[in-house]
Order: sequence, then C-alpha cells, then structure tokens
Amino acid sequence: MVFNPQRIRDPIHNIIGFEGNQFENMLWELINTRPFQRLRRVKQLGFSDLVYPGATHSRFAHSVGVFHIARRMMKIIETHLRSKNEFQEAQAQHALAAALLHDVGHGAFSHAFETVGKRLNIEMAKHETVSKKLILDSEIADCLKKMGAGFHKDVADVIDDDVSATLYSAVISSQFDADRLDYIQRDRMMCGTGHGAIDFEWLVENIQVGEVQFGVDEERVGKQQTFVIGPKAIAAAETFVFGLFQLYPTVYFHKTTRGAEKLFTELLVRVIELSGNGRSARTGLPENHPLVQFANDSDSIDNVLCLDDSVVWSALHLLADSEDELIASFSDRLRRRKLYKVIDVREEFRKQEKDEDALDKSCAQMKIKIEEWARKDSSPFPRILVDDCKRSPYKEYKEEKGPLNQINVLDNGDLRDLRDVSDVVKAIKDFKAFRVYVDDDDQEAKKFTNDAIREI
Amino acid sequence: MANVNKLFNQGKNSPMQVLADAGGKIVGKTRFQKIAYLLSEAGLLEGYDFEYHHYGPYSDDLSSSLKFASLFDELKEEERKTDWGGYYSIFSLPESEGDKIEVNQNRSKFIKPMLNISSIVLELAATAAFLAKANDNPDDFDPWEKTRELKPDKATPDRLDKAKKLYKKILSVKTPRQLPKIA
Repeated sequence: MVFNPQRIRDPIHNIIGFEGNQFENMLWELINTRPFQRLRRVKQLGFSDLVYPGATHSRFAHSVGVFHIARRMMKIIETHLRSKNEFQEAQAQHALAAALLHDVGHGAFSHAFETVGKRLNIEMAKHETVSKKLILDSEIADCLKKMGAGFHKDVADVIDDDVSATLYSAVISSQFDADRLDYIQRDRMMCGTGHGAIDFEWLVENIQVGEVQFGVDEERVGKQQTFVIGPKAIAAAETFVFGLFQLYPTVYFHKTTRGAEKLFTELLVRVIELSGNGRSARTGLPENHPLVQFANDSDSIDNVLCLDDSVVWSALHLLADSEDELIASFSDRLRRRKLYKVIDVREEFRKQEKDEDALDKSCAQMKIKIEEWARKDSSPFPRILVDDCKRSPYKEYKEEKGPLNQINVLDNGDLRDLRDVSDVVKAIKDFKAFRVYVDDDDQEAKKFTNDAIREI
Repeated sequence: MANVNKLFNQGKNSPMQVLADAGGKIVGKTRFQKIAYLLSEAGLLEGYDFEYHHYGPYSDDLSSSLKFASLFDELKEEERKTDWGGYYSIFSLPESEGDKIEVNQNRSKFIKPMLNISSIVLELAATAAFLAKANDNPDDFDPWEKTRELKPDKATPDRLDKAKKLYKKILSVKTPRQLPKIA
C-alpha cells in the first residue's frame, strides 16, 4: 500500500511533515476526524485575545506542534535505547499518537469550561475524561485501531494519569515535555510579548535520558527513566523556568483575561443550571442550542463535540436578550468587553509590607469576609467575583510531585536538581494572586472591599 | 478578624482530631491522605471527597484543610529532606493543643496499624480499596491485581503481601461502615 506524505506550515516550527508510512498516515487521518477538526474552534488561550489581539491561535495548531516536538524528543529516546537494543517501536507510536491527541477533549474556552464543570459536578467537562472517551470510542478509536486491535487502549493509557509513567510517556508528561515546549513558544509569539523567550534548540540539543530516584513520603521506591539535561544547558533551563515565571502574571493569569473568565464561568453555570432544570426558555436560547442540549445530557459525546468557543460567542446575542438578569448582563458585558474592574487584594496587602505567610493569612481572611458579605447580599447575581490562584514555575522535589516534575542536571555522572545548581531558580517564588472583580459603578461593593482590606 | 475556622474542617472531622487520634504525629502527606481515605470509607471521618490520583486516593479538601490549619498554627507541618532527594512532611499538634483534644479510641485503634508501616504499603492497600469500591463487578475483579498493574514499581510481591495483611488488620476493627472485603 502506498501512503502519501503530507505537510503543514506552522508559525513556530515552519514545516511539520507527516511521512508516507502507515503510522503517520494514520495520524493524518486522525487530524481529519471531526473531534480533531473541532480544535480549530477552541482557542489555545481562551479569552487572552481580549488583552493580546493576536492570541487567537487554536488548540489545533498547538496539538500539531506538540506532535512535532514529541517526535523530535522520541529520537533522543530512540538513540538512547537502540544502543542497548531496548527501543520499543510500538510504545513510541502510542506516545506520539497521544501527543497529537492530548488536548482533543478540551471544551469551549478550555480551562474556564472545566471550572464550570467543577462547580456543577459535570464529569464530561474534564478534558482528560473526554479525551479518553474519544480515544476509546469514536471515529478516533476507529483510526487508531488500524495500527492494531488494542492500539487505541494503549494510547489512552499514555494520557491516563492513573497509569504508571514510562520513559516514552515523558515526551508528553514531564517538566520538559512537548506540550510545554510548544506552548511556551507559541503563546508568547502569538501574544506578541517579548517575555518568556527560551533557547529551544540548545535545550533540545542538550536533553538526554537519565534515571532519577523517586519515593513515597520518606521512603525510596526506586529509579525512573526520564529526560535530564547536560551541564551546558543550565542557562537554557533557567530561561525556561524564568519564562514560565514571567508568563504566569503577564499572559496565563493576566488580570483582564481572568476577569473575563470569571464572568464566563458565572454565565455558563447559570445557563446550564436553568437549562438542566427545564427552564431553558429563560436563557434566551432555543431548545436545540448546543448549550441547552449539553445541559440536558452532558454524558452524550455528541453534545460535548457540538460545543466550542464559536458556539459560545455566537450565543451571546441571544443570551443578552435573556429574561434572567445575570445571563443578560454578563453576556452583554462579554460581547462588549465591559468587564468587572479588578482590585488586586494581594498587592494591596503587600503594600502594607506583610511577609508571604501574613499575605496568605490576610487573603484567606478576605475570602471569608467576601463569602459572608455575599451571603447577606440579595442581588440576583454575584457582585464580587474572586480570583484566588497559584502556580509554581519550579519547586523543590516534594513527595506529592513525582520525579517527572523536576529538572535534573547531569553533573559528572551524578544527577542534581536544577535548584541546587542555579541560584536564580532557587530564588524564584510561586506566583500567587488574590484579586476581586466588581462592577465599576458598584460603589457599595468597592467600598466593602477597600474597607475590608484596611481592616484585616 | 474573619472566622478562620471556616477554612478547614472542624470538630471530629478536623485534621487536628485525626492527628490526636494518631497519637499526635503523622509522618508523610501520602500517609495522612491514605489514613483519611480509609477512615472516610469506614464511616469514621466525613467532609472530604477523594479522587484517584497518581499516588492513589487523594482529597483536595484534605490538602487544603492541612494547608490552612498549618497557616493559622492549629497544627505544625515540618518539611525534611529524604535520602532519595525529595522532601517529606511531618504533621504534629502544637504542644499547647495536644492535650485539649479528646482522643476517639475507636478511630485510634483503626489508625494505629497504619502509623508505623511503610507508606508505600499503605498506598497499595488504600488503592486496592479504592479500586474495589469503584468497580461495578466486584466478583470478576481483583483489586490487588489491578493495583499491581497500575503501580508496577511499587507493587512488589512482598509489599502487596504486607498491604493485604495491613488491610486485614484494619478490617478487623469494628467501624460504622464496612470497608470492601478484599482481604
């Protein structure tokens, strides 16, 4: 059988080729399935284009980029294992197919949709659940089975957190995985920001396979093979960690983007609650709208696949005419980009020269005060929206993490954690934010917030 | 000052009460999580939802409760470096608080076998219990075999054997709810 090679032009990687063999032909077929094509309509960064107009890139482009990097990293594994005659072609293919498919289950506005699902206890709002279901039972599964009857199950195992990690799965799940190495480059470029640049070529050139120790609590379990870096890439690894440190506040947790996500979350929670309770007419949406269909049967994979960013954006005009005050107000705010205004509470506390522990305590107390205030408030929709978030660009090796989250540097045959060889990485703190969002005209909510900051 | 008690579970479901019932100290986050999971399954602890994570059953609520209880000095969390390169935590009650909490003897009896055994063995036992409960066809399903499949590095024959013996011990304690009978 003859298989035709294929090519895609990509703004980060230029030409991404699919070779004319059975495996990569099958991957090309995966790309042409309905679930994968749907990723063209799920933006990688959700609402970030409200801040950075260029950030309209899709999970489709990112997924293809992840596959491209994963294939390159797999060559490192292949070289390492072939020298010992231990390379397993089938396991490599499972991991590469998983790299391409790792985001296929993302919902509209990705992580913001997952927050909605968490509030309403909807299992099919979790992208891992949907990805697994699509890989095991959909036209994606049919494609994967062309490589063998159980191939789809092996691919599902690679993206399943429940299943023990392997060296092969490190290409999509480790500190230097293809996912991170693609998004850190793509997101900064599409945002147009100068922050977060990494020395990608030098980093990949210096990635090797090593064996790192892991344990449970104080007890050693054994060693696990994963990616490590050579000593000449310490500066490149520092830049990578520093890049994340810069992109958290400036892109991923930008105050305006998060403000839009907060409105979106409240809006969708209300739409799904009303629709699921047989009151969809109040939402302004017709019975056959994908959001209403999803609210009525979230277990249906077809209902999940009908939802994407464009469905939500186009629904805003109908929702703005809703009888429900929250739905009408928040959908109109989103379409006009008239968001609630931010009060950066943690920064206000920081101005009082509090240390990190005192800041954490003050923010925790503020959260309780806001909850108490909201409980007494009789408004039909929330007047104070809270954003309480934390991310670690790089942390010491804690027991609950696992060896794949560390960057290990090969130093004269020994492995050393990047924190132990880099003062700058050791000095990097967690990114933490505690912000509240209020309507700029809501003087009462603003006064309450500012008074509470002074009192705590 | 806001009522910070709302940040972590209180009374008989507080992490401080679990610590008191454990004799005042629990070594390791994994150990704390698995003890709390098995207590919950046995009907001896309420207020925590558990999901399957990489290290077996895990509760975000418990993790958050521990974090805030430590932040507001209701309990102590001390971090130490392991000889395998990572860090682990030791949870204890502040000296001033230890005597104030009345120990629940039944819970104490249930927890005792889990305190001095390997955390890896405890993780295997809790994972098998979780898998047994999650499976719809208990007759056709061997949770220990599935545990071995999911955790090939940890589930050595010796550790699995110890995990089954541990589980048998805690099964023998009279509890409000029956744990899955898998040992």
